[in-house]
Amino acid sequence: MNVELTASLSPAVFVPAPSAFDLDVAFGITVAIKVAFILALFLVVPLVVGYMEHKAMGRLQHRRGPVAAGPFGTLQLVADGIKFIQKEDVIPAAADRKVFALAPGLALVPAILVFLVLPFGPGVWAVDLELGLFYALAISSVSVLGVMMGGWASANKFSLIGGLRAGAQLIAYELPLILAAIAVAVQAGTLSLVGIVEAQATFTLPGTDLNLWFVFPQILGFVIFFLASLAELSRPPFDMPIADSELVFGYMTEYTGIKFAMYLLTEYAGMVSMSALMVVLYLGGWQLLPGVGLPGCEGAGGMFDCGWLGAIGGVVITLAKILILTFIMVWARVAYPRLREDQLQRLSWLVLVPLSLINLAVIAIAKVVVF
Amino acid sequence: MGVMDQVELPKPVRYVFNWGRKFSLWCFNFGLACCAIEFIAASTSRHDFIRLGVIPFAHGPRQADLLVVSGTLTDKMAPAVKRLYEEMPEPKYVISFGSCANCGGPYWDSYSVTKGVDQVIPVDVYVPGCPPRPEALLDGIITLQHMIQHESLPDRIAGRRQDAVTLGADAPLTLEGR
Amino acid sequence: MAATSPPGVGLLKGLGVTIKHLFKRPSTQMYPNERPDLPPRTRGVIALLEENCTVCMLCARECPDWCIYIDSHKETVPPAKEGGRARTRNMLDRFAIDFSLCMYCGICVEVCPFDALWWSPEFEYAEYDMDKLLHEKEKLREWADTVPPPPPLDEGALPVPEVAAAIDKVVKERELEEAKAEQAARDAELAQAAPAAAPAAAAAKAEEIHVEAGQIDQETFDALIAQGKSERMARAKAKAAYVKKEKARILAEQEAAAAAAPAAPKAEEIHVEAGQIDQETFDALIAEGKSERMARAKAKAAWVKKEKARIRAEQEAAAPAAEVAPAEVAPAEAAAVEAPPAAPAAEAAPARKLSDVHVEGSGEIDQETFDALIAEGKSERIARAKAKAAWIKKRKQEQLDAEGDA
Repeated sequence: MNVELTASLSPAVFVPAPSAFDLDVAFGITVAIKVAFILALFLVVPLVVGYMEHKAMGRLQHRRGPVAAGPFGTLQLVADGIKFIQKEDVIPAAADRKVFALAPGLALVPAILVFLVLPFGPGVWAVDLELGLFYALAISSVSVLGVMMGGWASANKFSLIGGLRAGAQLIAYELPLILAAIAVAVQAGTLSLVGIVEAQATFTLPGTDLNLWFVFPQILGFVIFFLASLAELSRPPFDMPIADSELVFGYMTEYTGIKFAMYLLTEYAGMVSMSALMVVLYLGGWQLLPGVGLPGCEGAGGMFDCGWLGAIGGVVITLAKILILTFIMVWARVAYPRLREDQLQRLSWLVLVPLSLINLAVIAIAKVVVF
Repeated sequence: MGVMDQVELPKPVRYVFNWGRKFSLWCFNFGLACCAIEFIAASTSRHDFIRLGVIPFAHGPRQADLLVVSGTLTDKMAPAVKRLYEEMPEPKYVISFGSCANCGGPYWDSYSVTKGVDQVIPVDVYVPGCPPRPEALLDGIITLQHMIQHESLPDRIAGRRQDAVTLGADAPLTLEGR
Repeated sequence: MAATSPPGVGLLKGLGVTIKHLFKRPSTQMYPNERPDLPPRTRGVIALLEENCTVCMLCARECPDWCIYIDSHKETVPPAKEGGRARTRNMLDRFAIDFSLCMYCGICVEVCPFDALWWSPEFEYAEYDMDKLLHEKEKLREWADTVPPPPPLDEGALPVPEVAAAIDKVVKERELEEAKAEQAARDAELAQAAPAAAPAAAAAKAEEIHVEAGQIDQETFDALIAQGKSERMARAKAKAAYVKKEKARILAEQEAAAAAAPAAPKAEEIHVEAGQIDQETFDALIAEGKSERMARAKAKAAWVKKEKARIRAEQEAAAPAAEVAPAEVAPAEAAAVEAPPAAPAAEAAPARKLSDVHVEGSGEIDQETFDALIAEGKSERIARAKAKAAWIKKRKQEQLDAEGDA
């Protein structure tokens, strides 16, 4: 990244913003607390999102969604989890047993690791990396390796085609995704996710005092990022890798029980982490509204050093934004039919990539000339 | 799986585990005839069996817990049903939906129709009707859930192994190393 | 439209359609908690009203799936009334429907001539075991209690034949009552205009005197109203009282007339004290080896007969002018004589019952009964049958009266 650009906004030497979990205790305990925090987020938020998907999909389709399991069906995904534990673990005779067993884990672990750098509130993050954005995008791309391994190892033609489709889709959509994210990084002048949130809190429209999130100057980038992340996650209408009318269940065809649950969890965790990235990159992180910081906060734009109450408020705001974004994903799933494979590729290479390049160019020029 | 079908769990744990299976019946619809339309009606917004935890998202048999055979099973199709059933992981449940699936129904003297799905695979709940109402399927599902809540998994698996022999399978339906 | 609208509008429309449903009330029926609103003719399950079943086996034979199982045996039922014939009846032992096989075509319900099979909307009978889907008559009877009443007909639809017949009947009755009221009014006028015209009957007995029940007996009517009876009932009773009085009056007139002209007493009307025995008959029977008691009884009867014949001969000789009356009654008498008096007839004549008398009816009907029944709205066939019965009954009564007199 351009040295002059970064130097103008943040110190040349990156100083990680301190996490609220960096307590004055032994290193091991700090790590344990952070791991517990990440795992708790990883296990709870996707369940909430899954429940929301069930209910929202139900209501959008004029029905109720689950009601029997737990009050209002809240424990539906818990019941699913309990069931998956008990299911028989079937391994096809022709499968590559080791790879077959390894694949869901390989898909799942990156989904957990993304949560490491995601800031959920003032001080509520595990670690603030200088290359946070780069790390998040890179790690989330690793998941597809697990998908392709699973598709290959299943010794099933549907699985194989599903895995290959997932790979092709990833390559096609990683490009617009990263190009859109780069534009944000250019505007913020940093790759640290916390830094980007901070940059949004302090960014004002040139010539005025109007505080703006990056979604306003980069609405095009936001749309591209959203579509590309849908495709990355194989969410409908971009769910060709698991197209049930063509490929049974794609790369998951042969997976049962807990391994299947891991793939499923990967999908929901991916929804959460991608939505969290969008919140951080475009929607001002834990800012309630543009220019409105959390109460009782000091620091840049009233975004940091908020105490326990402010931290909790920030987490709530972030999670609410994540839920709204995942709701839009569900909404699109309900409203649209699946694209064809060639339409998918054409959309990426002929529409999204050029548009994201234009977006990047415009932002880069604006960054030098206007901002 | 593994240990779970060998060891009887303590009662509270068993309750929770049974509860999980009860409300997470990923459903695979083996639609063969007109009864399949009623099954589809049961999954649509008016009846919406996702309310009961019957989730019709199981694209394939590997993810399914519940096989609903709805319609006339012909002798030609019977091997497919059997294969599909064997592809499902234990613990798995079968609902026979409609007269044809129960025992041949109107085709009781046909040369080509299997006289009931239970000639081929073990059935847990029989839903009568020709075709049954969607509510009748919901009633069948509730009946099945009642059974699941009060069953013992090791007993069930042991019974399954015996059934597999009596039903004339090529080999017992073993759980590992198929 | 798609050609003219800018790209992406269709996509937004799609989102709009789905989001609209988010704010609507879902159309889901919460089935286990909420009963589905089933149409009244839902084919849920076939119920058996066992009381109506006559084991005619039509349903079992018509069933395309052969899923109805019926077992029965025959029982002999004692005759309903004395002297009748013992009947055999089919008793239902088992009535089972195999609902795993049933194809719910409803042919059995259609074909049942006695309305023993019904559609019930019950559908909740899924079972763990297929054998349990074979439901016996006890269970089928329970379902019969869940059969809903038939739904109301559509606006302007033709009524059900049975219902239409009932309505017709009510309408006829009402018309009849109106007609009667009119008739009564007219009769009252006539009676005032020509009170002497009424008594014109010629028959000798009260039953045969026909009195038009047009007027009411004011005295009775007042008394009944005073007692607090309803007007309708009082009117009816007063009418009956009027008829009775009128008959009595006419009878008295006729008797007076008969007293003027010497009446020819019939055989039945000749009273002979059965005190003696016919020695000749008695001796003959004793000689035949009969017991003394029987011989005495028969001899007594023979004496009574002879005595009657003697008295009649005397009377006929005395009043040849009165021969017309007995001649009229002759055919009936001849029929009556066919039934010979039993052994203790001399003592037990009044104890004879109506059913003991044999009257050969040959198609004659009692016109009065017939008219009354037709007026009530009965079918002609029924009216004719009842009128015939009434005629026979009357003849019998006549005979009985005659014997009693004898």
